Amino acid sequence: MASNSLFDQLDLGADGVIAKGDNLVVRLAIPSHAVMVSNGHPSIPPNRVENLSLCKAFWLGPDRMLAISEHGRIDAEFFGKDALVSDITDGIALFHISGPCWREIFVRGSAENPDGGMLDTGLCAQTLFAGLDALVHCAGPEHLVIQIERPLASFFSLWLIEATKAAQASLAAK
Amino acid sequence: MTATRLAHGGNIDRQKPITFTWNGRVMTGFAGDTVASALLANGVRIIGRSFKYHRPRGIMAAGADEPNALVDLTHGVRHEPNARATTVLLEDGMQISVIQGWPNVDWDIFGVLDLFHRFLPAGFYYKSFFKPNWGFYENAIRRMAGLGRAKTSADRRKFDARVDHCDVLIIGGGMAGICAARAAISAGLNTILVEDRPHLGGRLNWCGRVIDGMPADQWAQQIASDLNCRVLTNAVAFGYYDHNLIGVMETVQTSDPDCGDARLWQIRARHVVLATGAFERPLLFADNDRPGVMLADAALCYVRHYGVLVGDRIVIATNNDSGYESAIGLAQAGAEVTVVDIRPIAGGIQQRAEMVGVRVLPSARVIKAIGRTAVTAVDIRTNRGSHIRIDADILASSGGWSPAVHLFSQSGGKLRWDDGTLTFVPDQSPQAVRVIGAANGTFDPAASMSEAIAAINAIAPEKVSWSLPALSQTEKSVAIEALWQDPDIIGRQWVDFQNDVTFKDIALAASENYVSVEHLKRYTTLGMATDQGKTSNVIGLAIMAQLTGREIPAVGTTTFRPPFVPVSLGAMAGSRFGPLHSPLHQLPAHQSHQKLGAEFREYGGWWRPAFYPRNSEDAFATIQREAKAVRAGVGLLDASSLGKIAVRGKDAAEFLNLIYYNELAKLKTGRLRYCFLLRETGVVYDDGVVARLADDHYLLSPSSSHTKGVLDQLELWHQTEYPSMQVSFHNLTSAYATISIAGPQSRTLLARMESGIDLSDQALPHMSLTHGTMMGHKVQLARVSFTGERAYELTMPAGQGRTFWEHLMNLGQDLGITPIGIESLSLLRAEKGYILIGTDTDGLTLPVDLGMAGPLTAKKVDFVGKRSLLTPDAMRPDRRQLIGLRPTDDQFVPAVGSHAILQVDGTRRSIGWITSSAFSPHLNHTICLAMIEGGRGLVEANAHVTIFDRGKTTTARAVEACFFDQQGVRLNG
Repeated sequence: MASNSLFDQLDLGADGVIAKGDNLVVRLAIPSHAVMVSNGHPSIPPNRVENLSLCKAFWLGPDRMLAISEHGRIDAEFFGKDALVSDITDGIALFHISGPCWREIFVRGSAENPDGGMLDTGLCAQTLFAGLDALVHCAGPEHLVIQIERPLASFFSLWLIEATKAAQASLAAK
Repeated sequence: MTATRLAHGGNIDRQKPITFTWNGRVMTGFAGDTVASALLANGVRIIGRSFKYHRPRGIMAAGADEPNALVDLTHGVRHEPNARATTVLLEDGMQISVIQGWPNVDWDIFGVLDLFHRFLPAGFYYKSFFKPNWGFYENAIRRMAGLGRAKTSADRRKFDARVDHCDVLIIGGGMAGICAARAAISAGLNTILVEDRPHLGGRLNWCGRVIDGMPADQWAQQIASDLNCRVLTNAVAFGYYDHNLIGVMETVQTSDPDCGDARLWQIRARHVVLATGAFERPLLFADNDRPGVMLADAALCYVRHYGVLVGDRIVIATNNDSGYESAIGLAQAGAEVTVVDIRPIAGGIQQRAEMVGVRVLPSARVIKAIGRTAVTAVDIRTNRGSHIRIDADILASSGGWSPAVHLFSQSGGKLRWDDGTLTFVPDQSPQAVRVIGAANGTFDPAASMSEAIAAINAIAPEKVSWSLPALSQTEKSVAIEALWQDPDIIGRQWVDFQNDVTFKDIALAASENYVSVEHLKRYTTLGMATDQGKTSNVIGLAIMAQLTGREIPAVGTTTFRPPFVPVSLGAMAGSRFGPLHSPLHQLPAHQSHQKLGAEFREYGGWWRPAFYPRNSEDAFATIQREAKAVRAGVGLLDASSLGKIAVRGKDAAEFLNLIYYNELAKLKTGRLRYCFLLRETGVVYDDGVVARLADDHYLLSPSSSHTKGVLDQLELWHQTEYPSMQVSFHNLTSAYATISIAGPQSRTLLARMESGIDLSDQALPHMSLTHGTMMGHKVQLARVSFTGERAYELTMPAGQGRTFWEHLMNLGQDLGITPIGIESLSLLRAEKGYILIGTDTDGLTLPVDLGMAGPLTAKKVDFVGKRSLLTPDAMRPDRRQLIGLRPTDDQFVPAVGSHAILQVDGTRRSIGWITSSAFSPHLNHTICLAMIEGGRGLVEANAHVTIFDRGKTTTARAVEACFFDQQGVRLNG
């Protein structure tokens, strides 16, 4: 995890936990390195997530992908000499929502159907979440990852805290 | 006699008493009561005063159709100024009071208005109060009329909101609804069932039928407990939107004072089944609004569901068989009941009623309710034409049933008139919706169940594997007989109770030719109250048809729009208020600005320091101080929100040259150019600096609020017009922080960063950039100014923005370094005549209006907007042009938006307006930028213009837009 003032900004501990509930943890992570790539290779099928060496690549458009590494830098050369590779490490924030009740957060932020296929393994979706442009994917069973612009991380953290409270109240009432 | 709580019966928990207050009086009810049932049980008859005439009113219905029982409700932090007593569940500690009536609801001084009703017909306010003017009377009239008052303090509670999806959404948990749900589950459909009451079953809870050998309410609860799907009770579907999106408001119990008592659901369903039931219609007779006049089914509901017998001696006026069901229930509970039926004969149910002691008067009709604050007797015209009077304390009526077609209509569905049931029923809808049961005009229970199964079979891939329950035999029924308004009845007859619309008002509308249903609604306000005319619409239409000699379908219906019931704004807002009101971007050094005491405001979607007040400085003094500091020493501005769009590719130069107004292909590497981006209309969309980083690599710097818009423009032109060009765009705004360092000491400060970058004017002249390393991080340093001073923009990874900011602030202490906000920047740039897009320009401003005509003639290649700039309109000499204005009074600062005017034939004509204005601390006089017709000609003529500012006039001299350092010595030197 990269050293960054974002954790200070959001007043988070080292584990990046924003909110916790029964069967639910919301955590902020900062990627080690993230680049946006245009006109590069390999090509990724639409709305797919591919595991490349050292990083995960997310389809963003016909000639565009986002490559995120949790452990170390991504070599720009990897994508070819004609590629436009821009370092956006400090421009994104990753929010991990995990636990059996992750859907309770999802349904408060997105109009999409979490069981409609968009979150199937190996897929990612660019969508509105809590009114923000977001890239959403499931990193595993009961593990949702939402990527947003870093300047909105503070807003989104507040939103997540409220959503977690509402989710907990709703679950408790059942 | 008043209503009494029976010793037994009802779906209430007598082990759980609840204490509440009514107008300050302590009362008790039971868990399971609504506010209305509890008030009735405590003997309350007058629940409010009518909207217009202040007539006493009592509870009329038992559900969402209640027009009278709106109350002011306070419960902890919760406050509802117009809570519908019939739908609010009673809770301990509720404080309930009337919303109209002074000094109290029983003796309302404004009740005197009723004596003057002849002078207050429909639309009286269109025909009177002309002298001196309407405004003279308006306040007093609004005070006397109207509904409850919202509190002025903010409601800080946060409401929950969520989304759900399903195969089939069933709205209405009555018999048809729960049968449909049971069938849908058996067919394997993902099902959601929504019911507005706390329990499923609807009328089954009080109709007295037997299903599968058990009482209908028990059968409903048994089925409900078996439903393996999401069941939302206390949840009302209030809106039907496109693509089968349904808005549902669920009432939730919470003890958390910070949490709202409602949850908004947005449910997207593949199929919707509407089982919304029907509303009973009242009958018209003289004084049919008196307390004690109510709907027959409501009286039955109160006795069977809440254990409240509404009266001792009850008259039921009816034109259909369902009035007898109520009569039987009430008689069984101990009331003395008389049915007044307009029909000569009823169905088999009449005999059953007579067997339990109900007296039946066939071919008779109620003509008047006697009593002022409560019904004491009923006048009846018998089948022989004679009049009789019967003592009574309740007059209940049943005029037939109107299907609740509101949601169906909102779905885009059309209605058709059904002569058999005398009502509008659903016809076709463009959406995937089916209507079943009473909502479809199907009032026979067996037929309703069959419709439910058929509806699910039509949408389920697997057939329903659930067999219908056995219903008890019902008697043969006799058809309803139309009775809309009896012309022989003398006296006022209410149609819309909540808005005080009478038969006479409709007749007046008809006589004045407001015969269109839409005109009728707006002229009389029929159906426009918070109950949306649930009990009045069909009657109103029928009366209009009767008065104009048309068939009812020819009159038509008005449009039903969401919400079906009132929905609180707080619930719609959810948690979106305060810091969550709108998503604002935060600067990387936000915390540093907070520490410096910045006052933050929103600029283009970013939360930015407006200025940094010290001690007790006001805004004006702070801005003046900050601006002076920049001109005298060095100022630091967080410019991280400025756009940063990387453009790269072999065709990048050619592409940008096509898109931008200014020449960019010839821009040298390492140099910057100030550019305009135009729309096809030639209007300036954005301005900003473009840097060339390499032959095939540019960096655009759009204004903060236009970054995404500019990116969209680039993508649009690339993807639609120039897809063969090899060029790509990345928005890097969020990834990098930018600090603007401005002032004569800016270079000195930068030199202390020990980057090794050559800061000489030769190596880094104005409008150039370079790269280097500072504090171990790669940085970009551009020499560019928006203040007119020597200035640099230092860009680094966003994560380092705060560290760099604080380091620079420390390094510049002895130089008098001053953090500056957007407001002082705006003053400094106005002194130089630099524009802000959207402030100094509008949707008509062309580059030539801003004095930038050069590229139009010098640039040889085509570009976006060029053709529009060559039209005659674009070259008119009298176009509004950007100039400076110097008011004659040096100290007077005209408001932005003040117009420059000409006096023409004694009237004022605007020739433009002020776009920016401020007092310049360096020039010691006011400066203004303005867009003025033929402005440059006025400057050349050294002319004066008249400024009209908030009712006062002053003069100003037309001058060049640049007030300060016109030679640019400070900028370049």
